[in-house]
Amino acid sequence: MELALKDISKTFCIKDGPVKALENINLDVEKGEMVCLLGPSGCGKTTVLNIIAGLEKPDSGGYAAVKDSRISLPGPDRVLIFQQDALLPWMNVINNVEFGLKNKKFPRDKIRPLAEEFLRMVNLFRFRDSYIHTLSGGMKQRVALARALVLNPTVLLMDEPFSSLDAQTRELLQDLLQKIWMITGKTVVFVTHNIREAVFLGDRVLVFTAAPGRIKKEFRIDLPRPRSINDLRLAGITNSIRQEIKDEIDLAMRSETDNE
Amino acid sequence: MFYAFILVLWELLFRASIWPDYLFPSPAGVFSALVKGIYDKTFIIGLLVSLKRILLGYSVSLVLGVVLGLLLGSFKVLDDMAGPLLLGIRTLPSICWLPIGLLWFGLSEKAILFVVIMGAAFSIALATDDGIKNIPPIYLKVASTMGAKGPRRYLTVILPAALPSIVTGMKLGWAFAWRSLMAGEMLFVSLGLGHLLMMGRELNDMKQVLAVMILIVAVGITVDRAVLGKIEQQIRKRWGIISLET
Repeated sequence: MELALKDISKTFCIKDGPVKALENINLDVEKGEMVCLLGPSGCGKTTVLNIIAGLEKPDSGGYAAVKDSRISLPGPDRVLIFQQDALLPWMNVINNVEFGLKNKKFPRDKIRPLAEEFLRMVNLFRFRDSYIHTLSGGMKQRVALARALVLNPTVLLMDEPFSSLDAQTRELLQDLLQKIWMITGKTVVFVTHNIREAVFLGDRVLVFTAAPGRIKKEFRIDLPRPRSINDLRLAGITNSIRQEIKDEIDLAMRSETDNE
Repeated sequence: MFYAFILVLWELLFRASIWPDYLFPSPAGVFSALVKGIYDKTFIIGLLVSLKRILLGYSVSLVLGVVLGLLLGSFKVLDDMAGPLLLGIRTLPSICWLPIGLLWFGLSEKAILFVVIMGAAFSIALATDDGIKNIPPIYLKVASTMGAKGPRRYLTVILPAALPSIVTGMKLGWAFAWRSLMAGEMLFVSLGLGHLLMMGRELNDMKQVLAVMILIVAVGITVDRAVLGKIEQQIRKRWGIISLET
């Protein structure tokens, strides 16, 4: 098993007392699998990623492991791609991609060619010397993708990476991610609140409930790859999942509005 | 436009002859004193002497300030203990360090440098400290997940992320350093611009006093705007911090 979570719970202590964010999460991800965690905002799916990344500790009693070694600290075998603005603006594009390799003390002469290879993969080779503030949102996320993949992580963690992009760019990047995933065979845990995105990308879609976060239901998406975003079967599955989790969405919406 | 108005007002007041010439010189007189000072090289020498001192003093404060700020920003215990003290020290006008400087180093170059460093280093330290505490958490998360540890973490992430704040502190530090230097230089035969100012007083030469003051202001503004201001602008732009003032 590439990634295993057993009985993971997480309680945050805030001013008004403890709040349970996650309850008994069990998740096994196989090598080369793309798993999508789907749920309303505030359901703790980002916390799951942070725990896998080692940025947060689960409550005692849980067990989280990558390749059978227990997760304790952050490390480049589990790279996390954030929603936005996580590139280092004081470095240009290529230096951002090289950043992790340099930290790893990778052989000096191999760093540049490898970084260039991954920039080509995300079609940004031409922009290797550009500064971050000159890039569009979609370009930034492609750099982030290259920066993560170049480290050859065991598990690639993606936290709503396309949610701040406009619809066209989002579809382009979903397509690009699928393509790259098919080439590299990476194990991916992808967090999103967009049902269509989850169905398009995922081998499995795990639906979360909110407060405390729990895995409510699991869907296996058996569509052949490469998938097309306009595939009607995709729309069908999306609709049936939407029906299933309607209650959950309503509940989440209600908790964020005034009227009962 | 505004400056032209001031000049005209100045000239009119001068022509009205309310005060004697040696207490209230004309703009043209001050200008010719400025030109004369530059021609006979006294101003040039004074300027170079002061610039050399400020360069030395300011560089030392910059290094001291950033190192001190890094320590404070990285260790919460230190920050809790020394933070309030530093804030207190910063409110102390830097010329108040002169007596200590004179006792320790005598009436010398070192005493002046001491005052300059004390004036500038603390504001740079506090700005660095502040910059580190306010680094967007996402950069620290990126550093962790990308495996940046130890000194590399400081050099490649923490310092650059705190840089916008450090540069703001540098501007403040510069203002303090330049003022302290002038105050220090006025006290004895130091050959700097501050000394020229005092010489003007002793010779009852109001034109020279005003000409030197213009020079001091010019240097202060040039460094603040043209050097540090430009750096600050560049950094803010590249770091993606949207600045409302354009």
